[in-house]
Amino acid sequence: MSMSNLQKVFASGAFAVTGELGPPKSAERKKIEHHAHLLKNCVDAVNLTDNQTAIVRTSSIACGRILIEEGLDPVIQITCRDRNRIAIQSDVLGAVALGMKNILCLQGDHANFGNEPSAKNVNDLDSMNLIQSLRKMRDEQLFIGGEKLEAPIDLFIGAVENPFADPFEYRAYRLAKKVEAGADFIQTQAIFDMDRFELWMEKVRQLGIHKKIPIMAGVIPIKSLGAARYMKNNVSGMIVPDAIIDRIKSAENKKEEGVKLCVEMIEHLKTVEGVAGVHIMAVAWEEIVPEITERAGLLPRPKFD
Amino acid sequence: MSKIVYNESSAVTKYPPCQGGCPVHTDVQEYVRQIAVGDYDKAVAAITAPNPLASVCGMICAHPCETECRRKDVDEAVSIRALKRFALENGNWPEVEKAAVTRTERVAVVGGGPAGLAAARALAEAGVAVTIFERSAEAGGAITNFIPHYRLPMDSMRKDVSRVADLGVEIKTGVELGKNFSIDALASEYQAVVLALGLPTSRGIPIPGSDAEDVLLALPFLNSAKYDNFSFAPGRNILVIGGGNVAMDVARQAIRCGAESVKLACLECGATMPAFAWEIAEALEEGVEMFPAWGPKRIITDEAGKITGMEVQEVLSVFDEQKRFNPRFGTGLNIIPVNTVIFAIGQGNDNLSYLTESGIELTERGILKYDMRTMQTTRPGVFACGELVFGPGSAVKAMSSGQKVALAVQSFLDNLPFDANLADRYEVLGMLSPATVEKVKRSPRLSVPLLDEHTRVQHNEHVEIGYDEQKALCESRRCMDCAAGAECIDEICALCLTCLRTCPYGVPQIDEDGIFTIRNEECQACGLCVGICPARAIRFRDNYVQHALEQLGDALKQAKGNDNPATVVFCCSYGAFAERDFQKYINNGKPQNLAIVRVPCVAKVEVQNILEAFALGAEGVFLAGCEQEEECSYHDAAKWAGKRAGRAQEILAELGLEKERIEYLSLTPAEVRDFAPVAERFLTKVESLLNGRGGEEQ
Amino acid sequence: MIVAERKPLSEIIKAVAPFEKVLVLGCGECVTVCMAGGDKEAKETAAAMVIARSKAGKPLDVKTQTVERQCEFEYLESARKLVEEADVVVSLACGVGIQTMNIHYAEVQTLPGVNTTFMGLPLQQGVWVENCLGCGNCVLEETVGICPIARCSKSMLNGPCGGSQDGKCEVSKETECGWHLIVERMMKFDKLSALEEVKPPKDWATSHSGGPRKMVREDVKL
Repeated sequence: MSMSNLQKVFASGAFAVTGELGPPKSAERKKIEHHAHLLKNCVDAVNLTDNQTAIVRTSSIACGRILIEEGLDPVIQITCRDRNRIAIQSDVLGAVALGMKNILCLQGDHANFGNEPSAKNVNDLDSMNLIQSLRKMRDEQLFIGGEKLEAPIDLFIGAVENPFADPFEYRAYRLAKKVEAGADFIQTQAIFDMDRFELWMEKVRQLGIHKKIPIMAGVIPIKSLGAARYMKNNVSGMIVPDAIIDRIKSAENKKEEGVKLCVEMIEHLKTVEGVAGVHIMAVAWEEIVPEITERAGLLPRPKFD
Repeated sequence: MSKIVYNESSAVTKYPPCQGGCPVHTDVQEYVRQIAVGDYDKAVAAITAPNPLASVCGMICAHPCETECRRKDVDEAVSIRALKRFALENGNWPEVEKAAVTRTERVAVVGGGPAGLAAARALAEAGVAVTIFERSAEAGGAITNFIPHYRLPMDSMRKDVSRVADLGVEIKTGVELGKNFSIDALASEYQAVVLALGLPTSRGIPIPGSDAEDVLLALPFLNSAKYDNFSFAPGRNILVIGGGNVAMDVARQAIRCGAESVKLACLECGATMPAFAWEIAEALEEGVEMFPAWGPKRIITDEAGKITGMEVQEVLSVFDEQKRFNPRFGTGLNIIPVNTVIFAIGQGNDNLSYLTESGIELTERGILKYDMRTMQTTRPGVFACGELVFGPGSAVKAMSSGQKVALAVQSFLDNLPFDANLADRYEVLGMLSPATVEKVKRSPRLSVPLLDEHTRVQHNEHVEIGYDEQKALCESRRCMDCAAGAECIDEICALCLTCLRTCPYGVPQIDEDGIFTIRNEECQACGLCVGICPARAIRFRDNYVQHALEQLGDALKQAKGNDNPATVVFCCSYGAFAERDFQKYINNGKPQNLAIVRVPCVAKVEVQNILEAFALGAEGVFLAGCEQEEECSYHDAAKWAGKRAGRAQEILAELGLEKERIEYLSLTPAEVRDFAPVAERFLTKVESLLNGRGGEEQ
Repeated sequence: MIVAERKPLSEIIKAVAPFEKVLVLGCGECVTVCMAGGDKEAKETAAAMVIARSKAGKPLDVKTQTVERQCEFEYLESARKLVEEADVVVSLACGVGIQTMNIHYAEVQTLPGVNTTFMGLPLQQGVWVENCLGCGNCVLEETVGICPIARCSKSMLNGPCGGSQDGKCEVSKETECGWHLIVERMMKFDKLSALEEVKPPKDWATSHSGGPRKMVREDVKL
């Protein structure tokens, strides 16, 4: 079984960089290809969100295939909100059959947030079950119900953690549990409150988690004051300190300030012990990623045969 | 006296009609049930508590309890009186403890008949020193003097009287008021006097010829037959005039005295003859020829003055619309050829004119002037009770009167007012609803074995053989336990309707307003609802079931502590389980490791009782019930007992214990009578389970 | 208890539009306690219907009655007279009672007058919250008495999602995060380490997902 590009980057010890692509609310392949090209040489792998915020978009796995054909390494996202265990396991097999390896496991934002608030929230599994089940499929070749897969599959299992959610004291332990369950790598929620993140990382280091698996810190470049405010007030589990809001507010070129802020954070994160990489979520602003990665000294990305 | 537990939320407690109808309010339901479960001693205790003449009543009581018995609406009344006799003859009587005298006053009771004995006993139990003054050689009144041997052996009377004496009541015989002593004399020594003089004078009818020879009066005739060995000369053909119980006694006694034939004529028609139906029936069996609705007109004598016949006139009616005695005659005439006439048309009191000297007034007709409420004569401190004041009646009614006068006397001594009407307020259950009647399992009343009618008239021996144990157990099971059954504890009831659906008799109901009640007055006390109620919100008015189940702890204690696994059998206590053979098995024959808990109907055992047995150390539990169809007088008992066992098995299985440790067995009487092998099979099975042989059958 | 809320009056009035004689049937149990469908609400609803219909010029004959419990056939009997006189019945009982009515009185339609919502309790007078979903396999021992299936918007079994903030669920600031409560309670009993164990996927077959449920107790069947 060969490693995914992301896996190779981690294995090499280099500081990893991933980007994110939110699929469109259409079947326009061209759009997907376009955004993929924007990110191609500045990240090691690209996350494809799965109906993020419960808004219907092109499926993550379908986009993953498109990315592979365009020469990128996709990180498929699977939420527990929309599919039961039958569908999820089936999708995993399909993803692997289509060449994917990196799968990020999430619970998923509640359907109330999205454009289909009447939809049934499936939640047959929770994210912990999902991680565990993927590991079982890969390492034991078993489905959840106990039947054997007809042939082994390989996966690189990702999980998320949110240092800015509550109860705070518990969050590091939750991360440890996800590692126990089978997570191979972690991506965090976007950081704006660096102090809190550092506090969390200390706890994580105390528990030795950083030595077990690579932890990627999440960042979001702020595009506008409105965007900043929106993230502060309307996105669950995000903390945007007032200082940040003020900084953006008082800046003349908000966009530039947002980029500057993001680059500063990345530079700092490179120095934080236990942070193995950075996950840049420039959703709807994918074109800014090349600049950010350049200015943050993350280029060129390592290449492997 | 009564073990009825009151439901605090109900305003009035209603008694079963048997108890209400009994003048001394014996707890009939209690003693009948004790007989049914083979506890004759407890039955005796319940019978003798309110009744000073228990043995006598067991023989000859008029049994108003049976007249009121609600079972008569189903098939026939329970044969209570005969059951009473059975219990008294088969159970141990409680010792009579001498009553402590706690009052300084003394009371004289004149007359040692049922009323006087009852008054004396009641007063003695209340702490009063009492002396009975009886003019006959023996106490007992009309019962001693007039009731024929063939109806009442004197042993019974003497046993009852001696128990009254054992209480500490002084009984003086051979002393007569008005001859040997006076009221004034009594008053000087006694602070109150009770006249219980009865109605010892026979009445005749002054029709032409009634002064002839061979015209006899009922009471002297009966007394003579009883004590003087009186017998008729050959060829006597008797006509008894009268339709009451005394007339029946006279007629039947006359046969035994050697009469060639006995006829009987009375004013009443057959349907309204005042004698008890069974007395009439037995008299007819014995050959008495009856002429109801014929009234005596004149006695025909020949020239020598000997009776040749009685002219009788047809009777159209006896009582008028105002219910007064006012016979109307028709024109029909007849002559009944007889040579002896015995009048049995009523009794009256003796001539009481001597009482007026002591300030006790009489009416113009010579009857005692009497205040029914205070129960006093016109002389303060002189009371009266019994037939003397209420007219002819039964012994038990006289006793009730005597018990009331005892209360009147105590009030008098305490200077408190007394009203006899208030002394006896008994609310009684109404009839069973037809819907319930329909559902009760039918079971014919067992007739009480008598000596056959041909042999029994040839002597004065007691004619009634009485019930044997099997018959008594069977008959007593017919009792429907009125007022002893289920009542709802409203505060706990969840109104879930489980009892409504389970009850085979439709006792719990939702009325048209949608209100749920358990109609205790319809309940048959089968106990299915108590066992199934999920809220434990139903209890029995009478707590005998609870008592039965509480035996478990002690029974198990005795069954443990030997080498064999303690095993419990919850068995029914009715039918064959009540017989003495089974009792013998329990007391002597059973294996030591078998604990026997007798429950009145095994369907009353709840799952928790079975589990409790295990929790207390039993290794096996079986339920032994009667065979459902033939034996058990309840519906569905076997079904529910089986289900309880099944549920307990499920719970045991969850705990890893074998289901075979619990079993429900439905046994025929034959199997119960030979219980040892039944028990043995189960005990062996439990042992083999414990030894891990997995429930092999031997 | 089962909690319900009366349907919007417009809906009820629309549903009885084709009819002229209506019985509004209340229930004396849960819906009385949560003030959705007891005798009072039955009378209110009836009055509302009368008002609406007379305004519309189409008078309506409305009767009301309340039975002890609408989910037991025997208690429904006391309503027979009024049911048989009515063209249609509007039941204010929970869904169970409404359906029982339709079984017992098969010849007449019994329409719902309430929306049955959840199983829950009154946290305080006037405030009812859901806390049991009847999943058929209770895990309250593991979560020290707070149900993750009912109290977590996503029915998670292994701890809170990333949307939990300040003890509130991402769905609404009015909704407490069930897992936040569980974690606090586990800390109180020093059982937090129990959360380290990864709980496997739940067997939903015992819940309604497995089909409508049935319970049988052979030992009490007649």
